[in-house]
Amino acid sequence: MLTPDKMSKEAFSLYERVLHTDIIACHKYDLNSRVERLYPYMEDTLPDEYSGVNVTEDEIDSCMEQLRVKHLIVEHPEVIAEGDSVKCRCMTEGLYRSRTVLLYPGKELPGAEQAEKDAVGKKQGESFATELGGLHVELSVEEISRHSNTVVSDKMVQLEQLDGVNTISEYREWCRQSVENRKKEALAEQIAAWFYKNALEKSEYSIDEAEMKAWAYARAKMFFELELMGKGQNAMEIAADPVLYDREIEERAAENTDHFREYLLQIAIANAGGIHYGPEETAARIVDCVKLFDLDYSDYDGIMSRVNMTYFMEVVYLEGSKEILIKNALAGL
Amino acid sequence: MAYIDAKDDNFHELISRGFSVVDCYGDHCNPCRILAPIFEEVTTEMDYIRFIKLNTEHNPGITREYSINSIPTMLFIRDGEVVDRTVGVMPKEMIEEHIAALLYE
Repeated sequence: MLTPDKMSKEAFSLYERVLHTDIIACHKYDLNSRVERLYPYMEDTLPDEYSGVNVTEDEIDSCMEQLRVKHLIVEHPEVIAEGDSVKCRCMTEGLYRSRTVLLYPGKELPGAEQAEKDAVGKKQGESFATELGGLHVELSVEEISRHSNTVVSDKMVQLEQLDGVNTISEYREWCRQSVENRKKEALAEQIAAWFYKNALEKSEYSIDEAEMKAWAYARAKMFFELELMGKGQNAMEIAADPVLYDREIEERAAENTDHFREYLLQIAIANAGGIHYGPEETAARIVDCVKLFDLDYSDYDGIMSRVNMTYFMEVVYLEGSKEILIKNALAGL
Repeated sequence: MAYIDAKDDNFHELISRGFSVVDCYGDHCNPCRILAPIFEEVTTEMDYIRFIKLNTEHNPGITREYSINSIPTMLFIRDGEVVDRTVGVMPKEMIEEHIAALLYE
């Protein structure tokens, strides 16, 4: 249990004050409601589409091609030829004045056919009159680029500086492994979502109805207050009218009630995976914030605006449960 | 020129200056697989244009922000502003036509 002897008197006082805000009211550490039995979601047989990943030769070839493209040699010739990339500056008044104009001689891009033809043979720094997008313009050649064809080699592989990967065949194996890992991670996210859906439906819950309503109301109020911040006249009118204000929160509370069960499940999954968030973590977060921003414990508003407890505990469990589900999904792949 | 894999947190920076073409794709989308090599072929041919690939499944923030409701979607961007967009697979020549619109219109 957290006591004043474990933290400074000022910090403890602030911590107690935080515990009594609406923000924390919906994130009690000692909920009566809970998941009585977490459904053993990992024991279900995975559907066929989640059974594993395949890496095709095409995918490995694509990875090798990326290596080749990455090491394309770019030359800057003096004279423009077809196939070059050319960066020009427009010198004529009007639409293109001072704009960078890119030309790709030989590609015959619509509107630039004549300019591409006229550019061939010009040198860097030279200006030439031409037609671009139906307009007569004068372009000045700023830069010419040309790619030289390259082929994947052991030397190219070594430039990547990957541990134990020095030859083309080793790089192909590295590609296979990389693609496989990437596909496994993507698949694990889908499996995690499937685990979650099953666990939500099949776990057994013990719900304290009054607590659920209070939680939903506090959460709705918290989000409604956030909505009102920075909103216009309409929001101000609602905030100033107690009847309208209560009605808005009641409506949102009804929507939040559905979320309560999910919140309990996220806590249960995270807890089962070793993730816990309690008063000690809240207190530590406040103390860290005060130190980090060099704040004074008496500046409650300043600290709360920095520490942003809003939604924090819920995010810890939301992300924590997702992390556990993905970890469990990956373990089965 | 190779393409750049964009993420939710670096996308805006990548497209903020110059000319960019973005291939918005998904891992489990067959048309996206057909478009991928065509897109890669274009990326190797045109210097100065920034070619970007965005995995919509891994980057939901940008996907929502740019209302990418179908994939593959290609965004044609000049100095951070989307000037053109296409949906579906298209031949290389059509991609180059859209790039021309980005450059010369």
